[in-house]
Amino acid sequence: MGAIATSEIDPAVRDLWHPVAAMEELRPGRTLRTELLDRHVAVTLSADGAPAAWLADEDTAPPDAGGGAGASLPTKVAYEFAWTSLGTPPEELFSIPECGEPDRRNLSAGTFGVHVSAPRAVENFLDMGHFPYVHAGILGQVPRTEVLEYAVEVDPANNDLFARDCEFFQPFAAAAASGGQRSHYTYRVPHPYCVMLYKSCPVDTSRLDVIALFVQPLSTDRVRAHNFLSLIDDESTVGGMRRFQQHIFGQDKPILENQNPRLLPLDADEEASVRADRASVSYRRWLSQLGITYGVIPERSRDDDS
Amino acid sequence: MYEATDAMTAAAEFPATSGIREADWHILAGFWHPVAFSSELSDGPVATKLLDVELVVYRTNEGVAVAKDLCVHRGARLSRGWIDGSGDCIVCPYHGLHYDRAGRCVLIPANPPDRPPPPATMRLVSYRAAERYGIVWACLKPEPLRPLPDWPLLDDPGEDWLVIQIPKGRWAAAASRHCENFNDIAHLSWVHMKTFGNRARPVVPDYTLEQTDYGLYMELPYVEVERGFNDDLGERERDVYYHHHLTYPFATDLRVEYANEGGDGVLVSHFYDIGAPVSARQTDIYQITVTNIPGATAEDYAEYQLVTNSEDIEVVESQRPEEVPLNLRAEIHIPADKLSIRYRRDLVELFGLGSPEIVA
Repeated sequence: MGAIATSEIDPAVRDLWHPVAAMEELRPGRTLRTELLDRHVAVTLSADGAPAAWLADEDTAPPDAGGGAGASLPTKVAYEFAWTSLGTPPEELFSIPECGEPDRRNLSAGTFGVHVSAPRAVENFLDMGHFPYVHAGILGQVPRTEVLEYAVEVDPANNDLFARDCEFFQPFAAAAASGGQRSHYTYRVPHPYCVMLYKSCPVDTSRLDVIALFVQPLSTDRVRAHNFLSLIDDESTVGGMRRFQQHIFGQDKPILENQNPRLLPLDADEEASVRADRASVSYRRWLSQLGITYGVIPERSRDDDS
Repeated sequence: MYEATDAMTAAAEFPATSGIREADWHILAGFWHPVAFSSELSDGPVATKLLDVELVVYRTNEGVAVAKDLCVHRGARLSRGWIDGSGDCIVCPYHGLHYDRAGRCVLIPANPPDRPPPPATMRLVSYRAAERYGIVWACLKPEPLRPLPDWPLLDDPGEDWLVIQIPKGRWAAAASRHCENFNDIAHLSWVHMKTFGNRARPVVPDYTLEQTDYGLYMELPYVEVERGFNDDLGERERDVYYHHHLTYPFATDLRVEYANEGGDGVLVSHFYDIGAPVSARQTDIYQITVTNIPGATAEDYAEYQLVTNSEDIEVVESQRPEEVPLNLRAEIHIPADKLSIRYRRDLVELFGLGSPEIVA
């Protein structure tokens, strides 16, 4: 740790915003130590309520505390989380306009340490085929295992990856569900390590719940996975909504930690894909096109084949 | 001048992180090794490791199967899956892909039912598997170098014999170190003083040692001390005769004949012992004891063997270097080491193990 200079980190991920803590984890005067892209990072809450972050490869004090301070890092608050960057991040983080609707409940819904690469965690989130097996009785149920054809596209306006018209029968789709429903999903990948889905809301079918996973890459094959919810749900308690999400993620965690290899192979020949994997195949291609090399096994150059 | 015809596949199958030298790995991969007791498979698939390859062992209606513990779709561990209701397939715990005994993918549940069956190329990395003596065996090469050990008594013990499967153990030692120790006589009077060792009789007589088609055969007498494990008669000497049948590379049938003064017939126990090389310095020990001694109970025998093993483990796990030196000059030998010297020579001369690395 600390041996890697910031300048050596792949700029494609170094210059992005990355989540480092749920805002409610932070307290003034208390330093949360975590990792980001193989560097130690410390985060605290300033007196003005904004997060402060700094490189903490040695035991350093906050930058505003004077001597011995680590290099200060930019911060941003968005979607109940504190974000930072080791490089030069863009002005804005991706936008989730729905979160601004007045009757929404926005909440952080748990952070999990997972021994897997960030792209494996994102790909699992994009996957419907595992519902009846990993989330049996909740998000899916044998024998209703078929993944119907859906569309994948890259939005030319912002280069976000979308999977649209996704449909899956779910026995218990959310904390507020009272019975089985055919859920309609739209997946969106606005960031190499962040993914969200828009899902038919059980209490108001004309609107969409938002469930997001913001993945913090600690190293190439270890992450903290932050869950975020923006729901239309007057009934469920915050605890109930969090418990539901944490139960689901608790089922995914052992699957993720047993995947081999831990890094996501981007080469189409590495793992066999099926029709339902269109989103996963497109995500891998999209990462390749963005030039992401962190947390993945890059495509083999075809010139090397002999 | 040439690359070997199997250059591509050979490079792909050797686990890059293995501590076993690559040339030795390819030789050891050509033998049958145990990967599970049959009885372990009754609750579904199990995970194990052989020569640093992570394996899943499972049973379908058609028999036992061994494959790399990896679903070819998204890299999930199949050993965390289950056998489907029909008993024909192992099911991946991630997306429910079904694979038959041969490793072919026969069902992709996310696909529509009218979709053509999965392509023939969608299959597990499956290995040769066999079931014999209540043990599942695997060979990581398409053609085994040698057959399974030939132990007819274990195939059909009949009613006169009590068969005891000893709980499996994992030793932090190389398989060859374990195997040499199991066939070593000089240590008995020093290491096995809780069980049958006799400190008063440390001399190892010159003994018969023969090379056979399966490996080595050794026979010699010893005077054990009976310490009353199976009876209340107290500590006393007991004349025994050992017959060691060592099947290369790591499997031994030790037949012990006990003096039976005044009794009918010969009292005999067989101690079968197979070391499965998990990695360079880790070995799973599969043992089966078979005896015709009247009054013996399975529990007593299992306990006796486990205490004996614990005596050996303490010494064998401490041996340095961890690998058996195949250069005979690397360790000092005494006359009692006749078997171990022959064993090391044979591993080199018959199989080419321990060959020098050729540096270009």
